[in-house]
Amino acid sequence: MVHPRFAARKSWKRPPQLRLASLMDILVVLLLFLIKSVVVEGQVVNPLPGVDLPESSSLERPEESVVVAILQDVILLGDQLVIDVEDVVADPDLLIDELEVLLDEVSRHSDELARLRGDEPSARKATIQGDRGIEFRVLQRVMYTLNKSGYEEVSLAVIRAA
Amino acid sequence: MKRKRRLKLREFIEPDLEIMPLMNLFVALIPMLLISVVLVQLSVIRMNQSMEETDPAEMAEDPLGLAVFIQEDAYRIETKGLAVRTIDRLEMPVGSAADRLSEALIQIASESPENQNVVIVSEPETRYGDIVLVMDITRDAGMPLASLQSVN
Repeated sequence: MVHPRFAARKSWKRPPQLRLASLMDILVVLLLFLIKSVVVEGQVVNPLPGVDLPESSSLERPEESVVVAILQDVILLGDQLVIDVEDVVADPDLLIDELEVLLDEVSRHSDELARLRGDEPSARKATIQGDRGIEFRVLQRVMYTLNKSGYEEVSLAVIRAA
Repeated sequence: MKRKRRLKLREFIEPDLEIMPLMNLFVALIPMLLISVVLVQLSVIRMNQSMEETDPAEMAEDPLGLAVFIQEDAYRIETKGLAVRTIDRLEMPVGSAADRLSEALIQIASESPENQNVVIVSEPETRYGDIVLVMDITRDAGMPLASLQSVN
């Protein structure tokens, strides 16, 4: 509060200052954490929530690809729900029609993007993030569907063992 | 003589919003939370060939025709359709069946060093984690080109 005697004169009120030193410290710590995170070819790759990946001694790095997640109860393409595992197991056919439709749609989009860029359509790659408790019959059907949809390079995502 | 009144000037200062202690708290808390985060690294296992339900020995183009069967109670190793070795999974201590399987595959690999193919045959109920374990064992034994098959 300014004394009335000096109100008309030079203001003695010092404006409040926002001290950013601590905020910058927080940002530096967060930046260091992001740098130390898993980075693959400039792309951060994270296991999908709800998927308990098995451990493996494989050292091959994942590449940019279509991700199919097989959880205990559902199958996802990216973050889109495809079908329940129960329905997959109940169907004697190896081909998962719902997954095939979505994969074809993804393939069309990527081919169209490649055409617009003037590039040749690249080889279709897929990565399966499967929960370690799923049964082989589910994995078999997903891999069969991927192969029938033209995804020649299929990889299984695992957690690198320490 | 005018008395100069010395005025004791007091500087009236608006109190600042003191958020520095709060920010310092965050500076201390955030690294502790980040350290507690479990960092995982993803790897991939590249599959050798497409999945088809056929006889494993017919699918294998190499003369060895090596196949590892994952059964509920045992691992069975076959070459050219003939059983070579059966390793009990149930009566062993945990982990020793995998070691015995590794030793057997290493021995086979030493006898046929040019062979890099192996077919892993699983039952429909076989757990995915068990399949990955066998794939690791075959890769470490010198057979990185593994393909998956379903038992007929």
